[in-house]
Amino acid sequence: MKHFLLPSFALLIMACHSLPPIMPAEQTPGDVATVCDAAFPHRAWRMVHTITTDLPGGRRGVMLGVVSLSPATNTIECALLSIEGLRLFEARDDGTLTIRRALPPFDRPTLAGGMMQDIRLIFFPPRGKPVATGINPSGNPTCRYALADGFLDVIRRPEGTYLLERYNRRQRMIRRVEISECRPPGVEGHGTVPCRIHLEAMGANAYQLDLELVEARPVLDKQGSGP
Amino acid sequence: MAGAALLLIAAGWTTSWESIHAAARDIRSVQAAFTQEKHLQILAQPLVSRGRLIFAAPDRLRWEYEAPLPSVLLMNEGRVQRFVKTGPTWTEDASAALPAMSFVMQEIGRWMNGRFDENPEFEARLEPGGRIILSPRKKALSTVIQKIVLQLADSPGVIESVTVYEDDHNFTRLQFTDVVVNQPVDPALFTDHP
Repeated sequence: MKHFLLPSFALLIMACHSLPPIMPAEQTPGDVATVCDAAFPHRAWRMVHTITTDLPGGRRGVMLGVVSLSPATNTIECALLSIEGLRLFEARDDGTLTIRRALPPFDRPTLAGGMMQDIRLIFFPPRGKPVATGINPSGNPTCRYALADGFLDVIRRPEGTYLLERYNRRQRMIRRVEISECRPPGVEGHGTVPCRIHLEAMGANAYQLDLELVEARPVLDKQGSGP
Repeated sequence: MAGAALLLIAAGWTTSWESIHAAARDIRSVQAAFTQEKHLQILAQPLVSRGRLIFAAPDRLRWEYEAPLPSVLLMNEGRVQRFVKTGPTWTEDASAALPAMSFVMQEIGRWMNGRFDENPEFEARLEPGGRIILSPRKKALSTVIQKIVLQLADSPGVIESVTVYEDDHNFTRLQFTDVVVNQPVDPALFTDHP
C-alpha cells in the first residue's frame, strides 16, 4: 500500500505547484480583471516594512525595507536597513539596475536582481491584459498573465486578500505571495497598499519573507504621481 | 562661590581631550531618551524612531527602540544580542546586520567613557563648542561611514547628539533628551528584554 501511496502523494504535491486550470466565471472577464488589478498600487508610494526571515536553527532575522515605487515611470528605489537604521543595501531599477550600496553579505551578485524581481512581483501589476480570467480550482476569481519567462496568476480570495502565484516557463511554481491590503493610517483618500506580505520562494535557494507595513506615504511630487 | 567654580569646570569640559576624559571618569551611568531621524535619499521625509539608552560603566549598554518597531540591543560583557517584537512576541534576531551593529555598540560604549579619540579606525578632531568629528582612516570603512559628528552637551560627560553620515545624501541623527547621570541602574536591564 505504501508503494502506491507515496507516488500518489508526490503527484499531488507536484500538482499543487503546477499551473492549474482556470474555469469560466459568472462575472465578465473585464470584471474579474478589475478585481485582480486592485491587488497593486497604481500611484507612487514610499513605504517602509519590517522584513522577517526564518534562518537555520530556528533563528529569525529582522530588517527594515524601504521602497519607493513609481508605476508611471516603472521605477523602483529600495533600501535595506538594520533596525537601527544602518543602510545595508540600496538600489534603483528603472529598467537599468543601479546598485548604490551593498555591504556584505548583501553584495552577492545575484541578490540585487532577485530582490528587484520580488519587489516588482509584489508591487507592480504585470504588463498587458490577462490571457485568461475566471475561477481557479479553489473557486476564487483569478487572472492569468503571460510573462516573458512564464505566467503569473493573480487570485482574489474571499477574505479580501490576494494571492500571487508565479510560474516559470516549465509551468512550475517559483513564487507564492500572500498580500493583505490596508489603508495606511494618516493617509486618507489615496487607496490601499500591501500591509502584510508573506513571500515564499521555491527551488534550490528556497526562502520565506514576512513583511509588515511600518509607514506609507503617497508621493505627491510630479514624478509618477496622480491618482 | 563653589557653584560658580563648578559652572566654570562644566563650561570648560569640552575644551580638550584631557578635560573630556576627566569628565567621563566620573560617569558611572547614563540614562536618556532619544529621537532618531533616518534621512535617506529615497525618502522625502525622515524615518523617525524613538527609544531609550541606558549605559553603565565601563561597557554595559541597552539601546531600546519603543516605536515604530519595538526592539532592544543589549551589550553585556562583550556580548551583543538583539531582540525584536514581531507580532505579540519577542524573538532574538540573528540577521546579517548584527555584526555591524556590534561594532557600532562597542563604539558607543567608548564614547560613553569619553574615549572618542581611542578607536584606531577613526581620526578624531575636537572643534570649538564641543563638536567632535570622527573620520575613517581607511578607505574600506569610509565607503560605509563618511564621518560621525558628535555634539557634546553642557553637562560634563553627556552627549547631546550624534550624526552618522553614510554619504552626502544619507545620514542618521540621534538627539538625546531627559539625560540622567549616575543614577542606579538595574543590572537586569542589560540582560533582559521586555
